[in-house]
Amino acid sequence: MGKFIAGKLLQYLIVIFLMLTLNFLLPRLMPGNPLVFLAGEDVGFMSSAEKEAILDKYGLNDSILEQYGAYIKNIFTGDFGYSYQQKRPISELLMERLPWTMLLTGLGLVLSTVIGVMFGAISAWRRGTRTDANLLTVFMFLSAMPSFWVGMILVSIFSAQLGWLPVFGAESAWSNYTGMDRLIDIGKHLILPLATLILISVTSTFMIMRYSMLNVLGEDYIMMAKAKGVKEKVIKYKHAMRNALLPVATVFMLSLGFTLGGATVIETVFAYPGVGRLMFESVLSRDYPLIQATFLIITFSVVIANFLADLIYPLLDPKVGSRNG
Amino acid sequence: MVNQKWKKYWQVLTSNNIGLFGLILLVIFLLIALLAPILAPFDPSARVGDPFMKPNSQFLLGTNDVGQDILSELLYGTRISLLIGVIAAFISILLGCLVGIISGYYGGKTDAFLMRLVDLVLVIPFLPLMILLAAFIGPSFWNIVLVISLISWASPARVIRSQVLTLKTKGYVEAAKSIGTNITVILGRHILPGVIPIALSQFVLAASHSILIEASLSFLGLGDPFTKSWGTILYYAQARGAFLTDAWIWWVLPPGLLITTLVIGFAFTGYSLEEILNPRLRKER
Amino acid sequence: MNTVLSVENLSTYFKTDKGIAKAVENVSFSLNKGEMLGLIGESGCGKTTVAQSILRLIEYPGKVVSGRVLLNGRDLIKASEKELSSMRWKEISVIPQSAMNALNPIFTIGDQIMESILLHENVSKREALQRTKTLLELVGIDGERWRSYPHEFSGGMKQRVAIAMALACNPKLVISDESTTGLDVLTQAQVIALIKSLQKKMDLSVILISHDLPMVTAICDKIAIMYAGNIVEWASTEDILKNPRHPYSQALLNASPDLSNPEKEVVSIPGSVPNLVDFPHSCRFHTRCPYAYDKCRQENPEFKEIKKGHYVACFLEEEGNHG
Repeated sequence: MGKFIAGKLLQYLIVIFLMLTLNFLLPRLMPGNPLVFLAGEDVGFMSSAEKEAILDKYGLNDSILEQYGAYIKNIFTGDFGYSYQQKRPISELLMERLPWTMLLTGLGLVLSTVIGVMFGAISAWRRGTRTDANLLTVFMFLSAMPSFWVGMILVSIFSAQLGWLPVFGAESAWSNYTGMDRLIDIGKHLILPLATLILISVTSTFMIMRYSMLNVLGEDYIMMAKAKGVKEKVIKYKHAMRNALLPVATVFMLSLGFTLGGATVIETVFAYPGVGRLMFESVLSRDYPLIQATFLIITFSVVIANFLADLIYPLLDPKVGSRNG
Repeated sequence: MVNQKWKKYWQVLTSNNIGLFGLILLVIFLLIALLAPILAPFDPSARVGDPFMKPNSQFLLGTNDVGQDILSELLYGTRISLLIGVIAAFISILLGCLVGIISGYYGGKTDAFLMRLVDLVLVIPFLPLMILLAAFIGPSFWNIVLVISLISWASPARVIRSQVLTLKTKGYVEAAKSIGTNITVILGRHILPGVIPIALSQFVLAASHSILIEASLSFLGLGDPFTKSWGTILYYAQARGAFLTDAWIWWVLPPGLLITTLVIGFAFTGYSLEEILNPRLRKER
Repeated sequence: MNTVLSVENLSTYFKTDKGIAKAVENVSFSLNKGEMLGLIGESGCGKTTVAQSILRLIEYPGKVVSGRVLLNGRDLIKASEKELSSMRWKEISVIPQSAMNALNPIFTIGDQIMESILLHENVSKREALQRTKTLLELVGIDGERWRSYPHEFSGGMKQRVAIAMALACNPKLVISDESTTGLDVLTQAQVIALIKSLQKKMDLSVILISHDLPMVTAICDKIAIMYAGNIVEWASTEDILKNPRHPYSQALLNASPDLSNPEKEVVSIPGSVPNLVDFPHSCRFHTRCPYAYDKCRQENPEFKEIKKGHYVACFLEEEGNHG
């Protein structure tokens, strides 16, 4: 098991290393003035002294290796650079936005997994019936819809037309709600983005669960449980479910990246103040250091979440969990 | 003989309701794309009406913020969405085949290395990475194609590899290898014919993903500014707040429905191709 | 006689794309207390389907279309789910085809044995665990290993676990369905010897399903020979060995067993098992039978008792011109 974890850890370290290197090289390799990529398009309005200061800060006059070393060191000390457009340190901006993204994607992942698992299992238990066919069709259509469009339609219907829910943001501005009221306010703002995120990411879990449950139901140990006289419900939930969940857990890890990517787009639609929306804002204003930092923070989150999932996986699968497995 | 095999695929595909449905959708979209100049009432880039007009007899889906005809934009948009989807999918499948075949054929350390690489690529959150790349290399048709295909080759590569492994275990490949048959001959005669059908179904599925990704990138303002895809239309609809007014019915709803239908067309075709090619799957579904 | 199980005219069909496959047709036999019956035939002849029909484990697209399975007088085919649940494992249990797959990989073997005890008997968890340990010892496994997961055991050990599990509730009848498939020869012999000794010790009735004729003749009291969904001959081992009546039985006995490769089907009879889909109303063996004549191609012979306890389904018996 230690070996398994170590292997995974190595894999993730390589991912982080590659992405850091890509991030380091992008502004320096792209044609054009690297200053634009490092400080944003406002560079044209800066005095030469200011430009000199930036060149100095990024050590652009040093050798490439020295620059790289300094870059890595900065990242790992939490210094993601400075947004010259927002006139604030990037790490500060990220810290402000991260909690909202974690709230949205965390809830989205958990709920879409639960819903996908539930319907996937039902579909498999009723394979070949109307229910199964209908569920399959609905989920196929869900996966074909563009996430941002689903969000826009939901806003059009539930906010603009019906006026039930707020249009954008994570909480009402200038309201000064406190305590319970604030929570309710946050909850109301969360419903639509969350629903969108669930709608677009639920299908992969559904498909995997259905397929995996079909396989498990064909296994001999399910027939054995039946021969033993175990009740059908117990067979479904105790014997079949946990085995069928193993592949779902694997896909859960892979879908982390997808969900975070989806969140980027969805946060944009709802002007939800998360890291994804920050990335969109920085793309709009061509604030390159901020684009890079948001990308890095998303990658870090995916990798960390993946690693946590790897740590939990052995608890589900005794084959990986045991010492000699 | 090869012809007969394809004929059989065709028959199974068209006898399968889902596959037939998907295929018909694709044909319709292809026709729209080809006939856009005839079908569209206006030049999509010309300001032919007042801004923000409601649908009327002249502008069936109204006009946008600068007075362009939305229906014409949609019809021409079919070309961009379809083209980007197909080209990006084609390149990523080409890459996927290359990696999959090398990995499966040579096995050993090459295989281990390439599959590790695939694992790595699959961990990276692909949409943010695409946004990053697109932001740096600038928005254009080919840049979008490039960005999508650079990142979407990984999971087809894995599927192709396992197919090559299956083919390799069949006696004739080993036999051909042992008598020193030229590798190009082995690949051409024994491996490729077995890989191409799988690659085809992977291609169709990749196209459906590419179309969705293109839409997302365009929606984030990273699309080609000179040729409007469906995603770009939605970007403007979002930027002008169309979804908060009654205009959502003619400005927001139609592009999304078109994207969904086209993606469904590819996905249904792809899934039924997969079912045909993988009888094991066919039984279980 | 003390009959434990009596199968009467059992037929089980499967719906397939190509039509109805009559996997088991008109099968009858019975089993006395403490008796060991070998059910033998080539793979695909319907042995496992018979076992699953008796255990009421046939699922769509399969269906038991007719017949009775009387276990101590109660018809399992007609039993309600509730009755069935209470009879399973208490009265009838199974040692499955391949124990590798019959043990749930995510539960410890102890949990899985205990589950059957707790399900059917009103005992405390502690007691159930005690019995589980005893059962493991009985099949030659250290009782303290109840905490192990299936993948921590070798194939032979898993098979022993499966036996222990089958005996958990002291059943009256145990069906062993090709329980040694996939094991090496030595382990096979050990497992079979274990089943035999437990059968004697506990006075069990056992149906031993196998394709290994020498093994079956060595340990079974009676033998039923299956061919393409029918039982063609059923008699005491002695009668089968000394006086096999059905041409298929004779062919089986004549085909010399390959000792170097016992996994191999012992049968080497020209031709192959017929397709069971929409099988015509005729003797199913006629395509491979050296003695087949017109009648065999038109009618299905009745399964008749030709002498006490010796049943055969063959027209040659009536004609009296047996070759």
